[in-house]
Amino acid sequence: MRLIRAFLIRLGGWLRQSRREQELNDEIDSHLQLHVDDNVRAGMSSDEARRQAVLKIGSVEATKEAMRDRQSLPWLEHLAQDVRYAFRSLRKSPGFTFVAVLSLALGIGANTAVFSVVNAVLLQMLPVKNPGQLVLFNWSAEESVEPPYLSPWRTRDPGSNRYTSTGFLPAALEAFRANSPTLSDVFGFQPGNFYVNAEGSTENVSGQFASGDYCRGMGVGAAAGRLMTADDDLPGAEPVVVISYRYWQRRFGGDPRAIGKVIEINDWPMTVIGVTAPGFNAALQVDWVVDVTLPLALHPRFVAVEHLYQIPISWSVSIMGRMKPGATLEQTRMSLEGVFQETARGRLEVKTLPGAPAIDPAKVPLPQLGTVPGGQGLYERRRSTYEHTLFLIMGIVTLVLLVACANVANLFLARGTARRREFAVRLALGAGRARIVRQLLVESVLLASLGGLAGLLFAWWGAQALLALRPFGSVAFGAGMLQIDTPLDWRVLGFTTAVALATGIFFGLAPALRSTRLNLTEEFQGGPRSLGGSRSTLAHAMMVVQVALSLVLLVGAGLLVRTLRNLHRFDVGFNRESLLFFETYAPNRWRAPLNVATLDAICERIAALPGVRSATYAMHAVLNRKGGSNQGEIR
Amino acid sequence: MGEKTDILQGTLALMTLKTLETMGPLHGYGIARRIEQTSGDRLVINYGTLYPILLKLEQEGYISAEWGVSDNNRKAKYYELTRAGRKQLAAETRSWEETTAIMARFLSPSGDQS
Repeated sequence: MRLIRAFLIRLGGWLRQSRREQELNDEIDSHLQLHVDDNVRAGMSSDEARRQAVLKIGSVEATKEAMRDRQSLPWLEHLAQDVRYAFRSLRKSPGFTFVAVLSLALGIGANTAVFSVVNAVLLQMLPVKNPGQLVLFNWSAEESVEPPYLSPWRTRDPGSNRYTSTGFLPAALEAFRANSPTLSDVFGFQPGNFYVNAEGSTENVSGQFASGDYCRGMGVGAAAGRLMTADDDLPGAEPVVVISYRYWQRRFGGDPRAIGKVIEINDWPMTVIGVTAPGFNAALQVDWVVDVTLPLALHPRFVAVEHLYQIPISWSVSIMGRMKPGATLEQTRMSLEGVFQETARGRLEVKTLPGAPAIDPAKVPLPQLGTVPGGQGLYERRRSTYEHTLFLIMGIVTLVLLVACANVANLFLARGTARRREFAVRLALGAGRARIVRQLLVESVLLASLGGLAGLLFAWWGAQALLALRPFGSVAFGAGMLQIDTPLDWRVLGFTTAVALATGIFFGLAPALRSTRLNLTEEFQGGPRSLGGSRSTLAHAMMVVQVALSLVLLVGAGLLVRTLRNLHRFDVGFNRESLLFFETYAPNRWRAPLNVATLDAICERIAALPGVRSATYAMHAVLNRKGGSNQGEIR
Repeated sequence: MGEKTDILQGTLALMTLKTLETMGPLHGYGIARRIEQTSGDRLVINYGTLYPILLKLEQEGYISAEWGVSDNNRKAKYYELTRAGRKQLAAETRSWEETTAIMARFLSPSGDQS
């Protein structure tokens, strides 16, 4: 604390130098005056009194210097000097500066772009109030024990025959809510896919069902209108829907009149009551866009209609809670484990080997409850699909940055050779070697910072390009495309700053040390000579590193391209030339299902178009996991 | 005058705090004189060396400074102990006493080895 205080005062002193200087002089003058007065009183002549006083105070200049150093921050002053000097010297060689900044911008930009995706997918917390208080429930069971109708997400625990799931029975949600001493809110949600008909056009929209206290428990605010409450989630309540800010902008153009509007979801009229805060995309898997949120109470009816028959209630609700201040995950788990097992009892199946005796349902080993931090929402998909790919890409761009570093270091080394005379003169005039090395480091860090700034621009579109390329393999289900914001938050900016600083020191240190190791006598007697032996060793080493890394990248890229070409040449068993796919969503799908006659009519109309050879339709398009497509062939 | 005693910076800072505690608000010259007198003129200090120490103590918040007028109508900067300064003085006094006690035991010719 004291040190920080002193630092701030000194920082202030640095900014108000002239005033401090004046005060310092005043104080010394006042001191001398007091001493002279004393001496005169003791009987000295005024000249002798003054002489004695000046003798006693010692070197005034040394005192002032000591105080100046203490009042201000000498290293800061020197740093400011160095930065000014570095700017001047970089401006004198614009070609060098341009090439160096450009290489660094590409290197740092690529790293920042990938990191901003890593940040958004793996690190970022939900944009809600106190995400650290949120707890996400899961359970684990032996592989042979399985509830019927389990939601598709399960993770096999490494090194054991157990698996983990976040799907619960709706009854568990009720039971948790009634028996949770450590939680202030308990809420549940599950993904849903809807056909939304607003203003006459229907589209497929992903979203979720959520319990009535979801918004309050999650701590998300409303951008417009009001959010769902527990009353909206009662069985007989007026059907309502909350839409995301993204969907509000996209579908309604941010029109406030959208609130209160009645839209049809799966042919069911529902009132839009509000919009969630911008940037909030619920707590489901990272690539599941939640554009509409419906009360969980409606879920059974939606499911019944879709499947045209009543299915048993499934283990598909994810449960989260908000812990009271001071409560821990373990306390929460212990207080609810029994409650959970009670809801699971008798609702589990045991897979038995053929011929083995059936296990008594009463003796099925019950699953165990688990609690994990819920601040990032459901996490399985992040780990299974994105983590490895992202780390791989991160590794590649790190290599790119290393190549850029080696490149710039070589440039610096050449520049150092050209500036030998300058360094020799400065050393001869008494500059410390450390000071010159620091000066060169300031120059390289400055260069790296400029590269970092330019890199942020690269990163800005780089991150979007990375997402558009979809390097994450096939997506099992869902909206199919990772739609995330990659904001430049403090983590990304901090990362870029750290990378730029580290880069600057990394590529600047060796050349700086090398170019200041001079034999002054030789330097002035013989004048600057050509590259010495040891210098070229360093230069050669840089070159080798650069070529080696570039080669690795080149081979990697080559293999990737080859794989892509092979995939492209793969014989899929039909003629892919001139084939066109498109999807249709039937409005009023539930009232009047899309029948064969309608589809035939559509196909006939398409086939009649000039340039179309033939047209057909299918529930599932070839090589596509999504259903409901028409195909036409165009020639 | 007695032989010159080399004093450590930290000791001078402690003496300054102690002086301010005993004397109340005082200017730099007064503090320097007081330290010399208290040492029975066995300590000889360059008065100038005191000022960087005063500045440091002020920056750390142990003393506060204000311009005032001396008894004989001279403008002077007066230093005063703050509450944090009092606490610091107590803490440093304790640690100094401990150090001297240890050193005394260590250097006493009849010190046991136990």
